[in-house]
Amino acid sequence: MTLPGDWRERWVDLVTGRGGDPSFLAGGPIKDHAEGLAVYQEAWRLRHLEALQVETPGLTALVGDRMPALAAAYFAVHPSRSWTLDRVADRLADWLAAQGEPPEVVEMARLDHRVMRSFSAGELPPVMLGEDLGSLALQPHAALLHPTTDVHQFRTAVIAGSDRPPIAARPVWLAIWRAGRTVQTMEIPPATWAILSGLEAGLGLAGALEQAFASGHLQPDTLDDQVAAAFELAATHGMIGSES
Amino acid sequence: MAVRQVSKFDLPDLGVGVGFRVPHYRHVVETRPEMDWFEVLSENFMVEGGSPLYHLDHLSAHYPVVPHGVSLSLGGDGEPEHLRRLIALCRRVNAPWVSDHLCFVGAGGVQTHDLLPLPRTRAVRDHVVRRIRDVTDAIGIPFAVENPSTYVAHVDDEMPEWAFLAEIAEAADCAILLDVNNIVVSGVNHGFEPMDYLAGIPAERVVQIHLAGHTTLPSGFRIDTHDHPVPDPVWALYAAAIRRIGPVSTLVEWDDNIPTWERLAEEAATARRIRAESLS
Repeated sequence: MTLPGDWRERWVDLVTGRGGDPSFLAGGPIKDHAEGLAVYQEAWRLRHLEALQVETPGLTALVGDRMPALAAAYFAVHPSRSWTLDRVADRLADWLAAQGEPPEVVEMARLDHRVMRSFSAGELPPVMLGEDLGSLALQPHAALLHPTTDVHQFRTAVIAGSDRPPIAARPVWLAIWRAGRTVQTMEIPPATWAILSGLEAGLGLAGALEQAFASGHLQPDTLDDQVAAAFELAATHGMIGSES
Repeated sequence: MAVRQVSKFDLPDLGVGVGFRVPHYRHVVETRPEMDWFEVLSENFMVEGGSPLYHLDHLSAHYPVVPHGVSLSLGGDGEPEHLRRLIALCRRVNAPWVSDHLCFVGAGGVQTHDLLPLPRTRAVRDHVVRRIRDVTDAIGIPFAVENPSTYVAHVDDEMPEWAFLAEIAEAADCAILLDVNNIVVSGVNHGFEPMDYLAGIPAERVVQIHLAGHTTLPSGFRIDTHDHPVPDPVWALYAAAIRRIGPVSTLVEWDDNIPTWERLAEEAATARRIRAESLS
């Protein structure tokens, strides 16, 4: 077989297990073309499994021996489309949800993904005294999740190497952010979560407060205290910055 | 063979360095051990912030740093975002040159994250030349193309790999990063003589040499795993390469089963000794 015009696509199909005719490849004195191709196929499988495990330590611990099969099924549908392996888990949580996996599995994958993204995300300058608060924004390395299970406690134990607690079904308002060179997770008050999620959505300060009020998490009689507490917490932990 | 030619790119001889890898980040940044220079895996530092850039900035403040990539996909299509970030990285570390592999990594938007071999045809050669010229024009510093390890060839190959590499380097007027471990690995796998490869390379274009270990399967087949010490056949070819090329920047790669810093520094010291002996 001579070199096909779409040899690149054929190569990718062969390496990623989508099949095809490998007869445009040539072997050597030790391995024939099929055996040589198998080296690339196995490397692809192992490299992607390992990358997914690195990106999802919580999920990997949670699903245990199921991880290789899950990874194979996931990459069959969602092969990497980024130049960096750091993004291999970008579509994992949604894919797990579509497979009917239980909430804790889906939410652990989403938490893993957000934590790992925080490690190398950018950082806005801090808000300065007297600055227009309209420029307030959630830091790019910060994120907010609202899981229905306390998967973060299980994940924290995995990372720490301590005893893993059972995962309980309860609503959690979670903040994720980078402090120094480590990424933190913390349960925060629903009102604070609601305000910061407005900033995360790019609504600006006024829009974020409006959204939080509309969500029912901000109460008229304690509004001032709730807003002050939210910004004290966010500023103390470096979750917010200035886009100006 | 000609002896002790020098690179036509007027680049510095950085001496012998090692790859900057995660297990050594803290030790290197905090204690600044003696090492001539470091190579960083480009894609690991083409990020927005956080720990990678913290360590990179501390590294480049005290050592020469050269970015070495795996995702340019010279045999495929360029990705503007990848190139934009690579340019930013080169500027950030004030890189004297930048390198990537003679390969392709994907097609149709799918990335395999592997260094897939190119058909050694004139058409592919011309494609790679155009890609290297575009990359070099955009980055504005010398670009070095590296020979990969390969496990299969193509039935339509029109020339040996060293001729393919040499013709590309000449036509693109680019530099060469000569990986002598990859020559040994591919030599066994494809049945060519490593010294023939070395003789076929334009020595004046070689600005860097890679050293690494590899895995030998029971069948004798070699896999480029970077998880062993540099084996004797690679040291021997390195000595021959230095005699032919002259004093060229050398880099020890050790990417899996990464040893202690002290053991890695020993491997660099061995390279330094062999380099000096080969030049004397």
